[in-house]
Amino acid sequence: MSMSAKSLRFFLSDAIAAIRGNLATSILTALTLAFSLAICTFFFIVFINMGTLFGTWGDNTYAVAYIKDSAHARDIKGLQKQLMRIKGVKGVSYVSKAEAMAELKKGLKGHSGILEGMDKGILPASFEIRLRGETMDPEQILKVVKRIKSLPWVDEMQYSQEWARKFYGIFKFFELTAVVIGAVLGAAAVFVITNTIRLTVYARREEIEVLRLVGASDTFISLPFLIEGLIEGAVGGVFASVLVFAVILLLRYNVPDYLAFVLDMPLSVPVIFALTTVLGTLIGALGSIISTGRFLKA
Amino acid sequence: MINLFHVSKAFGNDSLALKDITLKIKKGEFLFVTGPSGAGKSTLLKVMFGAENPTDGQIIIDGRNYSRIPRQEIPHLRRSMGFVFQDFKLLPAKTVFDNVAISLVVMGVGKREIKNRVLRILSYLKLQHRINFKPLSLSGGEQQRVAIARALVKEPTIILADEPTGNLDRKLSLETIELFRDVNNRGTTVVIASHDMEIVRKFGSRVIRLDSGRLVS
Repeated sequence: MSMSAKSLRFFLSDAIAAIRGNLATSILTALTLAFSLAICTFFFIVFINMGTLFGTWGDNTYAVAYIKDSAHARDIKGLQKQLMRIKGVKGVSYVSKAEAMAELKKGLKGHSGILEGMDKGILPASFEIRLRGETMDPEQILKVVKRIKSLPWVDEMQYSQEWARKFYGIFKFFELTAVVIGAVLGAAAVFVITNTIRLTVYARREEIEVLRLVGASDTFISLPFLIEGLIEGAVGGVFASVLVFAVILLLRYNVPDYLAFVLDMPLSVPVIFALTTVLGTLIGALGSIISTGRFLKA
Repeated sequence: MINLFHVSKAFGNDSLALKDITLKIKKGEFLFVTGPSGAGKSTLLKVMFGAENPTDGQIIIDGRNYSRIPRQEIPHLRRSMGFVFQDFKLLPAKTVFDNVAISLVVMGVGKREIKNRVLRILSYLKLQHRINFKPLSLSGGEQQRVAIARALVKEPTIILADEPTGNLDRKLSLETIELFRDVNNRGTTVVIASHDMEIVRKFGSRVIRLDSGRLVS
């Protein structure tokens, strides 16, 4: 057996012995991590779903480019290709003169009689252009509109500047809120874990002191704590995903239908399980590194 | 082997625990550091061991300047020294074997060699029958011998002992110092801090005396 494998076995058995020796503290650490991580994961799921909803609303950011009457079918096709190439354009759909008239009639409902006797080709053909409203600020949208306006065969442009401005503001506010809440919850989780692990380090200060006095390096002293943090973090991560799934199942039957979308799983259950476990393991390791490092430097 | 040049040590804003100590300890020497409580004996040993940094002065051990080596190299230096504490500093949850083996584990010694060396030193110190005992179930003298075994098992070139007889009765104290004498006869440099003048006189080696942090004789 190589020296490193021997050392790893020593550190692993030391870490397991430490967990057994301080079982209550180890369970407390894993549970603290599980609850902190579960809260973070739950908010992550809710924010992803809210973000998807905002994205859907963003699809309503659209502009209409009216086509000059003199344009032939070939010109319209060319124009469509040019529109699709513009950065910020999500999609285009062509509305012919006849379709525009039919749409108008539909809109007038019972009053379509007023259109009688009118030339069926009086309304211009147009392109309805969907813009990437959720990722663009109003000034960028204005630039895209100007670019479209400069294309040949485009007669007039119409788009809702007010909607784009309001939507962009709301979306940015939502994004900022999600980032701030995520950062605060994440920092709180690391803070709580770091302090819980620090208690276990403090409980073993006598052993650490002896190890230092017999010539143990900082790495030698830290490794069992790191492994302990990894194990507690992984257990906490698994428990966090179980908690999240349980809470979602419980809430699903108790929230009104129009709110049910916030509980949709943005990723598959195994992926969420794996992510929570990996994240728990990393937070456990980070907590160990921070608390042991502080203790050794003191 | 151990050279101290104008070493001083202050703790916070208090007065100096060591004042301008210049001292030379030769290889294979058996030295007593004496003086009343608070004279600076423990601080002197801790400074030699790298457990405390001097506020001023230079410490050269085995040709290496302690004041200039980076922090991460201190553990390597400690592996060539053995330190015996007055309060033993044994791990109560570990067995006698594990308490002694820890000195070799941190050095990366193989499992089989650790077993051989620990058994040999425990046999030398007449502790082989206590191998699986926990420290708290041993007598004071036995605990002190376990602490000595932990210091000796790595075959150090220097042994520093801080009041090793402080918690022992007269008979055990004499036995312990005899043990250090025996180790010294095998070539290890031994420095013992003790305020017990009877023991110091009985073993008649080189003695240095500290008072209020100063080397007075």
